[in-house]
Amino acid sequence: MRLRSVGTLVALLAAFAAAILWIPDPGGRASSLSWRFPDGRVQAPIYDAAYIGFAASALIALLVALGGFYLVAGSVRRDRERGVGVILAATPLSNGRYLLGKFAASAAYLSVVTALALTAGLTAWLRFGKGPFDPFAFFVPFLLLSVPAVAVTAAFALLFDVTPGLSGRGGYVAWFFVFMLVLVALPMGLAGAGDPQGKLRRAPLVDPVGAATQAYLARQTVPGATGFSTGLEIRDEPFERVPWAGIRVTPGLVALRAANLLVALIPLAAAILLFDRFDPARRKLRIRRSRRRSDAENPTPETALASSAPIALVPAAVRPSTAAAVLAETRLVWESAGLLKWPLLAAAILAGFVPGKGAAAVFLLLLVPAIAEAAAREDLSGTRALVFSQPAVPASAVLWKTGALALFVAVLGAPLVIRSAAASPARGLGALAGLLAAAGIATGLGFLTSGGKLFSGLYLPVWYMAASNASGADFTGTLSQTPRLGVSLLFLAGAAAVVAAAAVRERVREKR
Amino acid sequence: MLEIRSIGKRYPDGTVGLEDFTLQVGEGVLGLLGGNGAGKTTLMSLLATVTRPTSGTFLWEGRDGVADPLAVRRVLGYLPQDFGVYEKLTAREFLAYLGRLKGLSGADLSRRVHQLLELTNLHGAADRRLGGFSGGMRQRVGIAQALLGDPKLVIVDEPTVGLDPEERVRFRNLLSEIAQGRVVILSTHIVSDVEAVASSIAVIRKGRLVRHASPEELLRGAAGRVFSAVVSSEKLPEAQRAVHVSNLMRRADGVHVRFVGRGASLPGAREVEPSLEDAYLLTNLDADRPAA
Repeated sequence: MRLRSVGTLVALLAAFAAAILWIPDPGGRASSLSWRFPDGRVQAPIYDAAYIGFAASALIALLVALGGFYLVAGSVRRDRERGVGVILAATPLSNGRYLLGKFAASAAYLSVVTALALTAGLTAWLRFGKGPFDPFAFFVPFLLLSVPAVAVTAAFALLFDVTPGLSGRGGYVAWFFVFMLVLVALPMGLAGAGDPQGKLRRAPLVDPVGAATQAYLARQTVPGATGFSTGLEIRDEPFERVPWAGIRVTPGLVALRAANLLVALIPLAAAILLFDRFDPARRKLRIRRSRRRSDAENPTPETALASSAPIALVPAAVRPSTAAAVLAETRLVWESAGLLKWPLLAAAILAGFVPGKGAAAVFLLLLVPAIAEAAAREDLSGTRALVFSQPAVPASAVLWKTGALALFVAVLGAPLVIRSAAASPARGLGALAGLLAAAGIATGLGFLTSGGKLFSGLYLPVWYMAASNASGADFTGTLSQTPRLGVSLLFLAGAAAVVAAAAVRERVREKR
Repeated sequence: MLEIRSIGKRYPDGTVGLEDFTLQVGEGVLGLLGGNGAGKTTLMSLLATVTRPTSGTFLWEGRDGVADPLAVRRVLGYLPQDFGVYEKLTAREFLAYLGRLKGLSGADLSRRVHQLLELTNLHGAADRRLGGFSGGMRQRVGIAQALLGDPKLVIVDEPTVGLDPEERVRFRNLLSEIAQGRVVILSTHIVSDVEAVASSIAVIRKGRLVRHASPEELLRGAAGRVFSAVVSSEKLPEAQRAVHVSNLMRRADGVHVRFVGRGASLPGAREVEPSLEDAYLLTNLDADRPAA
C-alpha cells in the first residue's frame, strides 16, 4: 500500500533529480568528489563502477535518512486517530512487540524505497559509466552506508511518533534539525571534520547515516591530497579525471557499520519506554506536565443534553459566500496553530523590521507546522462530511484552500514583503511570489498526499539551503545575498503546477 | 418537499451502495431503518451532497440537488454517522467556524452559537478544547452544528450513538420539536428511536427501498403474524431453527420466545400484539421472500 503512495513516487523522483545533480556529466565543471594536491592540481574520479556506486550510496543514505522519516512517520499516530490503537491495546500484544512490528514494517518499506532509489545510480552508470561493471564495488558501499541509515530513521520515526508534541507538525520540523545536528554535524565534528586541511582525523565510530563515514572513506583513497571536497563543487574549468581505486572494504569497516546498526536501539528503546499504549490518561499526564497544566488538571466536566425547557431557534440570516469561506478557513489556520501562532506572529513582525535574515528565516521556518497539514485537515480529522456539506464551501476545495493559505501567508508575510519592496520592487515581488509558492505547494501536496509530511520534507531542505545562502533555493529572495526574482517566479510556477495536479485529482475523485 | 428519484450509487469497485431508490418525503420525521450495510449512510451522504449519485437525482422543493447542490446545502443541517472534530479548537470556535461556512456572521453567528451551546447544555464547556470532550459531548457538538443555519432539511445519521439513555430520550424530543415545518431524516438501526419520533418510516435493505409507510400501517401489516411461546432450554436451538425469533427472555418456567412468521408454528404459541421491531423484521422477511 505504502509503495503505491504519492509520497513514494515523489521520493523516487527526488532521488533521480538529486542523482542527476550529484553525479553530473563528467565532461562538465561539477563533481561531488574532488581533491587538491599541494602543487595546485585538482582531480576528480573517472566514472567507473566504484565511484558511481559510492557517490549514489552516499547520496541515497542521506536522502533516506532525511526524507525517509517523512515517509514512515505517523504510523502510531494513525492507529491512535483511527481507533485501531485502543483495540490493539486490549490484546495481549506487548508494547515492545507492537513497536518492533512498526519498526520492522518501516525499515522494510524504507529498504525497498532505498533499493529502488539505487536505480538512479544505475541510470547514471548507464549514461556515464566507464570500464567494466563491478557489482562488488558498486553495491557494497550502498549496503555499508544505507542499512544503518534505514534502521536509525525507522527508529527515530517511531520515537517521534510516540512522543507528545513530536508526533505531528512540530515533529516534522524538529526532525530536520535532529538530522542536521545530531546525525550529520555531530558525527562529522567528533571525527574531526573541522580540520583546516579538510582531513577527517579518524574513522567515525557513531555515524548511522554515514555522512562522516563516506567523507572519511573517500579521503583515505588519495593519501597525498591536501584538500578534499565531498560536496558538489563547481569550477570554472573541467576537472582532471583520473582512475579511482574506490573505498577499501575491510573487516573493520564492515564491523563498524554493523555496530552503527545498534545506534537504532537507542531511539527504539526510548520509544518503548515513552509509549502510552493508547491510554489517553497517560498521554494527558505528559501533556499536563509539559504545557497544558490548567486544562488537564480540570478535565472537561461531563454534562447532560439538558434542554428541559424547549428553546425556540430563531431564524438565522444565512448568506454563504466564497469570500466568507476563504476568511473562515484562513482564521482556522491561525486558530489551529495553537501555541505556535504567537512566536510565528512575532517572527513575522520582526522579519519586517530587524536587520539581517534571522527573523525572516525563523518566520519562514515556523510557517511549516502552521500550513503543512491545512489542506489535508478534513482527511486527518475526519471532518470531511461536516465541512464539505456547508453552503459556503466552493466547488473546488483545492482552490478554496489555496486561497485561504495564500491569504494567511500574505497577511503574516506582509512586513517581510514590504521590507523587501522597500529595497526594490523586484525583491518585494519575489518575496510575495515565494510566500504564495509556499502556500500553493503546501495546499497541492497536502491534497495529493492527504497529509503534511511530504511538504515538510521538501520545504525544510529548501529553506535550509536558502538560509545557507544558496540563491537557487531562496524562494522568497530574503535569505541569500544575491536573490533572483526568477527563482521566486520559478517556485511560483512549480506551485501552480502542483495545485493544478491536485485540482485534477479532486475532479477525478468527485466523479467517483 | 424532498423527492428522491431512482437514485443509485455504485462504487468504483463495483459495490452497489444504493439502487433505484425512489421516495417522497414531507414535513416531519422520516425514520430510515435498515441493517448494517443496507445503504442508509450512502443515502444520507447523497442527500447531504457529500457524494454524488451514479444514477438518478433528488429534488428539494423542485430544485435538482445533484445539479445544484448549493440549493440543498443552504437549507441543510447534517450530522454524519462518523465525524471528527478539530481537537485544538474549543466547542465555541468549532461551531463558529462551521457557522461561517454556513454563511452566518457577526452578531447573528455569536447569538446562534450561544443559543445552541445552551440547547445542547455545552455552555459550561464552550471554551474548552474539543480534545478533552467525551464521546457523548462530541455527539452534542455534532447536533449543535447541524442546527446552526436554521436548516429546513435536517439529516441525522445514527445520532444517538454515544448518548446515554437519558440523553437519547432528550435528543428524540429535540428532534420532534424541530421537525415542525422541517423535513428531518433520521437514519438508525435502533427501532425504538424511530418509534418515538417518526411520522413515517422507510425500510431499506440491500440498497433498495422495501417499504415506506407510517408506523401505524407497519404495525397493522404485522398484526396476526407475531407469536410467543415458552420452550425449554434444551428445545431452544430447535425452535430457533424453526421460526424467526424477534426476542428471547429466560424465565423460571423456560425460555419465552417471541417470533414472527405466517403461523404459530411452535407448540403452545399464542398470538401477541406486534411491536414496531416485529413489523420491521417482518418487512425484511417479506422482502427476502421471492415474489409469488
